[in-house]
Amino acid sequence: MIRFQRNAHVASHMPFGCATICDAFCFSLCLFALACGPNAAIGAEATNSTPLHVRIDRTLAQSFNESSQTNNIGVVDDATFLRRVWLDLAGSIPSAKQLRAFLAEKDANKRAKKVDELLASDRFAQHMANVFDVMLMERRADKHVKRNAWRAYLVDGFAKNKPYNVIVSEVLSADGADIASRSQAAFYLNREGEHHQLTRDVGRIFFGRDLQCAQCHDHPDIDDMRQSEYFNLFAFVHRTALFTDKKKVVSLSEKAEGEVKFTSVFTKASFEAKPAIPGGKAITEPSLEAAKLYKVKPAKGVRSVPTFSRRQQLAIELAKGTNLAFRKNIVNRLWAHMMGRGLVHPVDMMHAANPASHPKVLTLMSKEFAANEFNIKKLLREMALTKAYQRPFELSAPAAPADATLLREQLKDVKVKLGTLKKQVFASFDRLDDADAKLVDAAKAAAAPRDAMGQRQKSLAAAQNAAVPIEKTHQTTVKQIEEKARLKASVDAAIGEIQLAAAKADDPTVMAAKALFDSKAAEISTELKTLQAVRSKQAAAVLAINAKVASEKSKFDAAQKSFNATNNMLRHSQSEMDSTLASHQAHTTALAIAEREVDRIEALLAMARDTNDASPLLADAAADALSDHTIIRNLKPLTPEQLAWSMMQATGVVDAYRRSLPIELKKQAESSAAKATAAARKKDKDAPAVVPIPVTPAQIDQALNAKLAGSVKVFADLFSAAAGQPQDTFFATVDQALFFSNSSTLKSWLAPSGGYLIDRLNKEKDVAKMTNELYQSVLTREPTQEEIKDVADYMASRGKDRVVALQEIAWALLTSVEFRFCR
Amino acid sequence: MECGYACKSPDHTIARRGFLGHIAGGVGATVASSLVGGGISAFAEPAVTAQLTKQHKRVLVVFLAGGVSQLESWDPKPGTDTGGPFRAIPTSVKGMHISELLPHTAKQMHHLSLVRSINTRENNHAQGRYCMERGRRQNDPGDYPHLGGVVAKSLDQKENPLPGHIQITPGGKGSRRNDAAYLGPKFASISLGDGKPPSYSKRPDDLSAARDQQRNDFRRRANERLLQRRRTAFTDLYAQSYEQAREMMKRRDVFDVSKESDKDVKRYGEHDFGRHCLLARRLLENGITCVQVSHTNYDTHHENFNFHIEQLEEFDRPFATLLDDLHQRGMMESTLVVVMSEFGRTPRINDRYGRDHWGTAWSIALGGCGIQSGGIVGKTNKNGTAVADREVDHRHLFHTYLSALGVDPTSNFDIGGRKMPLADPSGLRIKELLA
Repeated sequence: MIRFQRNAHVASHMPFGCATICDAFCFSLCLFALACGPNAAIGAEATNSTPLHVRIDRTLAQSFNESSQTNNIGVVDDATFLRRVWLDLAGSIPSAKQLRAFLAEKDANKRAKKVDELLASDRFAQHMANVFDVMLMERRADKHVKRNAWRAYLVDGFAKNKPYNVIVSEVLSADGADIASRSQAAFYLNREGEHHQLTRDVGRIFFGRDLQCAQCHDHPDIDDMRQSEYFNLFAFVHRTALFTDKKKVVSLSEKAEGEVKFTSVFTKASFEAKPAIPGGKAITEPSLEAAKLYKVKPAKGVRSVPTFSRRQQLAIELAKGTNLAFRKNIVNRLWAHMMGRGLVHPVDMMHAANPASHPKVLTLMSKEFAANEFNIKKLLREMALTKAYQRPFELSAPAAPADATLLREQLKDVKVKLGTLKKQVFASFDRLDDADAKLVDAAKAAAAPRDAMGQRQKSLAAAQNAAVPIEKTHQTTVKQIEEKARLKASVDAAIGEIQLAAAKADDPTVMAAKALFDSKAAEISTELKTLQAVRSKQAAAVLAINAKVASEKSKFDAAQKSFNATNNMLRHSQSEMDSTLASHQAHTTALAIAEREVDRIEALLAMARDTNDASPLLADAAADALSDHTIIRNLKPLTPEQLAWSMMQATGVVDAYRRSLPIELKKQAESSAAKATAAARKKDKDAPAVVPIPVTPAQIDQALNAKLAGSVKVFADLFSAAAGQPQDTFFATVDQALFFSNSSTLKSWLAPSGGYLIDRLNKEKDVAKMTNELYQSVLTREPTQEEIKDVADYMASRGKDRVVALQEIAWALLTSVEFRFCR
Repeated sequence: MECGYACKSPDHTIARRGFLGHIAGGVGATVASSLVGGGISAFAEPAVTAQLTKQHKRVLVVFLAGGVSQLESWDPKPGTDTGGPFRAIPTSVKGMHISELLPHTAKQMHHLSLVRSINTRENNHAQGRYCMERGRRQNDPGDYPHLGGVVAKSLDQKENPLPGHIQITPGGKGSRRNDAAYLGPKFASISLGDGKPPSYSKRPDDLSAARDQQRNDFRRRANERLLQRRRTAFTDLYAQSYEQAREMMKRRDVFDVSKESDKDVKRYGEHDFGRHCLLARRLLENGITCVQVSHTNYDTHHENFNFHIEQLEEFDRPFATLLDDLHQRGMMESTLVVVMSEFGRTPRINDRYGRDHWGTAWSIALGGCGIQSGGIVGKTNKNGTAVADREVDHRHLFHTYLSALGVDPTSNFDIGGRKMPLADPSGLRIKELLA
């Protein structure tokens, strides 16, 4: 595969941190419920009357060019099929009894019936809760929402077959403050609401895109992982923060303000980011007055809730289910769950240069999944019924030489095509570089005008603010002058009247009053003069500040105009970049698909060779390549949970609990009914007896799960990847092998009592029958003659040590490669 | 269980002599004692031992937990307002002075270099430790592996059944720690201490060796039948893990420090840290890739000076002995030794005669494999309140450790098809430290 190193030369000059600028951090919470039912937004997509599993196989066959070799590969026997569907749909191997019943079943449709039966079982809900817990939480510590509560939410969802988009929107809309939906908030809360962690995990887990390397710059190796994509996702969650209430309960708050700006450490160009999901348009935000920004305003000890929540928008966007990356991601993950490898591998590296091994199959299933309202059970059912799912894991019959000739010709053709495609990719890569350079230039060109406009806006606002008090004092003075003038008029009028009165009667008191009024009149005149002097100064100041405002306004207008011009350039460059990138993606994908085709044909060719001639190493590599291309099956390692449950199933621990639990639960129900009866009869001695609530199968599964949780955890701790890491990697370590070899756990499960495996085997004295029981219980198949002999010899060599010898043989099978993998 | 010590055989002695012959100034008594004590032991083939000792690169980290004071150790400032009561003493390197609290180590400083200009800007215990052990900040999104895991994976000897990374710490129970992030459990450390070997490494008493052999033979036959049909990298790994587990059980004595001689026990000191240093020697000699020994506790908010007298006295002799032994055994060239903390301590002395957390201007010591000896990188100002020259942080140090071991810190691991850089891509190695 061709790898392009972009910007690699500057990689060593990255600064300390990434230049993420979140202007403000805002707290808020979203009280409005999501109007996002499964039916709300799904476009009506045509369904085909041919069952999906048939169409999947047909589409796969087309990508093998209908090679007779792949057509000749059959499907596995009933026992192998049963082990697979049990592990994938119920999380454990089946019991020997279940195997025997399935083998005896005569119905031609029994595989489909078994799949339906398992999908309807309570074990399915328990198992899928584990699968989704691991997928969504990746074994993180359950600090704020406890695992039991979170699992209970998932179990309930799978029991009700809740559509996938509904689960996702419930998980991403929960804020943890509402008690009813608190357990759903585990995704946010147990990641501590950390913005970058959430951005990365939302990208990986819901869109199959690990954008971590695009946090500080466009991804150096993957052309279509842009820094903007990272920050568009980041913008959904960056206003969110953890809020701790008085009872120390942690939930989410959110602010109504704050924009995301980011700078590439390579190009130093800065951009703004609005919330948008990968491949989607930016969310339009209502512009609200300051007073209406919040439902609950931020304050000390208060969980703020914005009127418009960006975080809720993420849930709303995903609930629509229209996003292609969103659909393909989950379909690919469910395919990986069933097949042991995603069509896109790794599952969180979906990008143009890493297309699906069979893109049409992925597209087909994604469409159908959406058309079927994101029905997980339905999709899993169709996957389980494909021939692809039922293929053997090993290479079998060599192909006809005619096939090899055909394949060689095909290979030649593809290689010619490959040459053309490479040239196209190089050309589009150059165009992408040009567009990128233009975009960076435009961003840089827009930066100064944007800053200048910001500055001008500030100056204008400052001038406008300064004008307000000046205008106000001027107005006050004018009013004071008016009042003084009115006062002077009335004093003057009074003096006139007194003069009239004095003319009539020469009274000294009147004269005294006149003198008093005269002096008041003089005083007012002086005051008036002073005020008028003040006013004329203030009027000048008003004029001056108004001139200043006008001048700032025109400067701002000019700055805005120049920003608009550069910003239009930026937008233009952005859209050019988008279309160049889209065409580059198309070319990259076409090239990668052709490269896959070469791999595939070469693997088929390796298989077409005389198998006697080929070295085992070559055969192993060819088998790996063929299983990567879904031509044969992967040998899929069991998950820690599958391993724990399977061991307990094989050794008889599970069945022992299945025998004892119904009795125990029934006793509990009876005892609580008796207590309720006694309590009722204390009040009323004739009260009727309370009837015990019947024990349901779901209750038994729930109780079984609780009983075995401790043992399952031991396995999870020992066999899983570290918390917070992708959980689809396989590890075999010395301490795991030591645990199986020497711990008392496995030893206690091999106890010769209680109807456990060793107990049953010990009672069966016929070696062939005993071996049959052993292999059916542990490896879900019948033993071969060679194996029966091996067991018989072992037993004979141990003479009286019968129980111990049985334990040793059972141990050997439990620790064998065959048990550890789903074959 | 019988352990195949080869140390008393004539072959071994000869090989050892030949091997040690070129080392100048080796102290006779030390060499003799190590021979009697059976340092390089559990290997049947002495030639293999010598080869492994010379070629297999290893790391010894001594972690002074709580934050050792740089002023009372590697960067003393006597006679200043911040210097405290202790003198600086000359070391075996001309012109290099360290605190008088480290008289034994001072004589070994020609094996080490100092970095006196660290500024991690991290004053929180857990976060400071994370920086120093993993070369990344804890609040970077994602979790990163410990140096020991990175080194164990990079220098992985695939057929070696012993763990690649061991943490020796008081209370260590032989169980696996969660410190390998995406590298997975194979490269997570096993924590040892209190003499407990790795978990489940002992065959149950009621299972004889013969019977264990028989059941394993049966397991192998069962595997063969499946592997004839299909073999993958994963099936191989799984099948091998049992063979490695069996090897590990045979070599369980590697973890048993009580197999060392009384004389060595006395030389190292009869306390936890002394025994732990001796165990570290034993593990390194037996090919463990990374061994970290913790010494606690240096978090001296009160009575900094009294506590440092006590703590460093306990640290000094075993550490100096270990350095000398590694040198005497010709292992320094292949063993990177780092003495680090999560941070240093404030130059300012508080009103309880204590010093507080200080990530701003502090020191570490390192030496051995790939590192210049007797060097000093960077310096702090006169009274140690700021870095004056060549400021570095955890990223530079991490890049330097890997470079010293011949591992390219700018390369990537392939983890299930995902590319993971070995070290923070924004860091650079400290070139002048590298040999």
